[in-house]
Amino acid sequence: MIRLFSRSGLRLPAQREATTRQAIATPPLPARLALPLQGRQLLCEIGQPVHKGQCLAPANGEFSLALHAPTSGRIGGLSRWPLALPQDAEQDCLLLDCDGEDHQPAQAAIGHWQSMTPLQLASFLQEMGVGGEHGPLLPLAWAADCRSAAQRIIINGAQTEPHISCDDMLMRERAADIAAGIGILAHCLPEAEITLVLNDDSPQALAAMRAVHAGQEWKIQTIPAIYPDSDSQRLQRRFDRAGRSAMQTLCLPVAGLHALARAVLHGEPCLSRIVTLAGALARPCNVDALLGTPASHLLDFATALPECNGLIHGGSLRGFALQDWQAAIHQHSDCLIASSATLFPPRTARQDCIRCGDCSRVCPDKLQVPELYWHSSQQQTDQASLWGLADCSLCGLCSAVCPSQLPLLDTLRHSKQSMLGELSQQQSAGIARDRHRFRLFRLQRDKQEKAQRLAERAAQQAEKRNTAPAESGSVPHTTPVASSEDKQAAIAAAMARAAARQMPAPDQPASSPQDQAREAAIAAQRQAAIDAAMARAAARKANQEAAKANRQDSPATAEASHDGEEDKRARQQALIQAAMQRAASQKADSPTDSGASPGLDAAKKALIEAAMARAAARKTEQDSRKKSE
Amino acid sequence: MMLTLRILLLLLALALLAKLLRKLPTPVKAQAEEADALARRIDAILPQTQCGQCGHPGCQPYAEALASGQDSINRCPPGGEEGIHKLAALLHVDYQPFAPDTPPHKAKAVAIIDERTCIGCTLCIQACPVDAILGSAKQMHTVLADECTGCELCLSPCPVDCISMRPPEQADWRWGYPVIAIKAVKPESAA
Amino acid sequence: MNFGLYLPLLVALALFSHNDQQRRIQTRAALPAALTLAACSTVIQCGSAVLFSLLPPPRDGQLMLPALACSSACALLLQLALRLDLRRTAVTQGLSLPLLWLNSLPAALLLPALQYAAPLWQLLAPLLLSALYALLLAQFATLPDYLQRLSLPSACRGKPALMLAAAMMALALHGLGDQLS
Repeated sequence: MIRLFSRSGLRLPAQREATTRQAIATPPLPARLALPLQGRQLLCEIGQPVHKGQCLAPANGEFSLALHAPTSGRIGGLSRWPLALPQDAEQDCLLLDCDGEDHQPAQAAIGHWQSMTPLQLASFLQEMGVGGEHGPLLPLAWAADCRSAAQRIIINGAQTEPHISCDDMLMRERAADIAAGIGILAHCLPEAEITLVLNDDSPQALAAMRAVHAGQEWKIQTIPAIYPDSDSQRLQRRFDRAGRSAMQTLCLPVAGLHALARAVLHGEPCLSRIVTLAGALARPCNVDALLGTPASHLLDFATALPECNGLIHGGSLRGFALQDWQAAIHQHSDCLIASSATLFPPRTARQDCIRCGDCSRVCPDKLQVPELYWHSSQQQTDQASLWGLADCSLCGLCSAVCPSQLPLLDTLRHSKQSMLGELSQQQSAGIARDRHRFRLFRLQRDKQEKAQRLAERAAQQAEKRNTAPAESGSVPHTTPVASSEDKQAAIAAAMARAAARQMPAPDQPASSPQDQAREAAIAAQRQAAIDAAMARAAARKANQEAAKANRQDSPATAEASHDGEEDKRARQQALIQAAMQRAASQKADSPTDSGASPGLDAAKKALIEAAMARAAARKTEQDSRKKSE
Repeated sequence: MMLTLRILLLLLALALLAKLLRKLPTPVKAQAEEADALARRIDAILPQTQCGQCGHPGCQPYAEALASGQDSINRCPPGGEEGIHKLAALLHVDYQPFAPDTPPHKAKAVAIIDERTCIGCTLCIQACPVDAILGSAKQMHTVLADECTGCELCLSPCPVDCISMRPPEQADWRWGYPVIAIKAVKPESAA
Repeated sequence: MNFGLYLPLLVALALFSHNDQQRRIQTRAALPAALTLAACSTVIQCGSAVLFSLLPPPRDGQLMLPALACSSACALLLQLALRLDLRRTAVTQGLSLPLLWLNSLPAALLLPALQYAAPLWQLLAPLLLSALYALLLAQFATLPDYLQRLSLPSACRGKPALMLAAAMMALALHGLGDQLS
């Protein structure tokens, strides 16, 4: 009953006092940055010196961003590097060796931003590397047709997970930039309703934003700091519930608005982000860290205390442990917590579910967590979907309140990812099925069209035969002769045309004997390569047949397959002989001057290579024969 | 008066029964339609690799064979063990493990053509069941990686053996399944 | 009316009906099938009450046989009506004539007892008992799934576990019925 009337979720202690006591700090430049490539094409080369803000790789798709160098230096190389992702996933990263100078050329604002359409603004942000929750800050698909419906934009400055305070500090110190960014957005989308959402327990940030708000069109709203109400989906639902659900709602992070202002007004690409460093540190603070900084560098800056025994990326509920402290931070790294035994006591041993129901009571999405956990741990994703796995926001509250220390969040994460994987697999299977069906249909249609064409031609010929004797009944036998003569003439003409096509055109200058010899050599070489490849393919097939024959134990079938093998080998030999003859005849056709020595050498080389290929083919055949015997 | 009330109750009960009957899943249709619908449901489970490892020329013929009870459910290696379980659940038969001579399960791979060796013979294009190879006679052939299902039917027709299988490009990170690490405890060394 | 025996009889009937239906339908449709059977039993209750009230009172005071006749007639009529339903849903749900007839027995047993009761009770009792019967059927339909998750000794898994649960329910209802009558 209580669930009906209470808003679900939990008000958690904010744990923000330590990190918000001082201003945002800037750590020293690290020695090396690791920038994940994610399939983008490089514009620079290994070893090339780059300056700060230089574009290293453009965006390659709707959801990717352009990659910029966060500081000046030299491209060290391209290799796999762990990122601050679950299980320390390694990705192909561009390694940037920083030279410490942070050299940046002068940048200017883009002059015409007032006249940009939403799509132009969205592409510009994509080029400047300004990211939102998934991909560019303004989704391109949304920007392309955003005039069609009324728009509501929520700027998400609320952070309710304990320890995270990066947005709070950003709004306290850089409120002017944020307000400028919101102003640009409002100018670009005049009909949109823009609301900035804050926690209600950070009065300094609220005061700072109110100070710069100063009568502009957008609104400021606070929400109670109940975790996980700062999730974008929950904010959207909250605003939709206020009555106007016909609007298209977009939720943008407040850091993105700050980066938007810097990009549009100052021409700076997005190169860094505010990261909260909390936990067992001598200097817990918020830092303006460059993208790609290894986590260990930030920990050294904040001076980890001796009792620090682990590193958690994210807040205390949703965060995951990083095994490799060299992992590089990325655009979604909002917090690094140095865990210690006092802050995060080790979990006691896992026990059985006692059906206490605390997890369901605390679930913000009102899910039946015991059912979800049961089906997820049995790997039954379809049953779990029936119980609402798709609605689970993976907030981690159930895992935190479980008295039996069950790994609820980990199991649900794994299960949800398998469910999404299965969905995408089904989609691609559906596409493959459609392509296969279309292929069958196409083959059928081609067959039918061909049959139709043949039938038409047969009908036409029958008609001709019927009408021709009707025309001249006096000489019925000459017309077949005449037609056969015509036919022969036509055939001769066609052959002449084909020969002429093969021979070089008479008006072209005759190529020098050297060119012809070189061409012949190249052709022979290519033919030799083809012969070698064909011999390899044939040998591989012989191996496969031999292996298959070995698997079948009965001697009769073995004999039969041996005979089959002999035939096959004979056929392969014939193939290779034919190919060699073709190469020889081609060489004989093209005239070679005996005086042209480079041509002769090349031709000789080609001959030698052909012979080597032949030998190699024979050797592989002998090997396969030995193996099968 | 009582009689009218009783009749009213009876009508209400009948209405409830009718509503329940209408809400229930649609019942069995004619036998042929049932087999066809069943074949379609089986085909929806199969992985659509169209590889032919089951002995049938594609997934739909195998689905039809299963629907008419002519084949066993453990013939599809790309579907894996989960595929067999799903088929067993759909067809109400017992789970059967893979036969011992089934080729081992291979990770999803995508074909790639070595363009230096390709001679433009179109034999692989004719072999591909989902038309994932682009090209024409004497022109360069290339595999559309997004459409390739990894069926490996193009490997054998190629006369110059220029097609190989590579793992697909994206290797997403995954949330690991929560496991309890079993640490080996050193046994007490005997004195 | 000895509810102490009547209510456990409902439990036994529910268990038997569940077993009978389970043999013919998929597990996923167990709950809808159970609810349909409960609705049929309600129809039979109300129908036999109507029929019984239409009959002239018997001379020798023996009410059991007419009650049985009424309920059997109702079951037969219902089965014919369901068979006329061209979608053959009833066949899918396993509603055969023997099952319907068995489900008409509670009605037959209840009717003589209500003959001399208060009018309100005459109307409500069949409905309340039908609701109880529906609950029992629904419970038997959904219980096997949960029983699978308990770590029972292997001798008790499956059918024996269901029978144990039924026995416990019968005992409880017997106690309740004793209190009622």
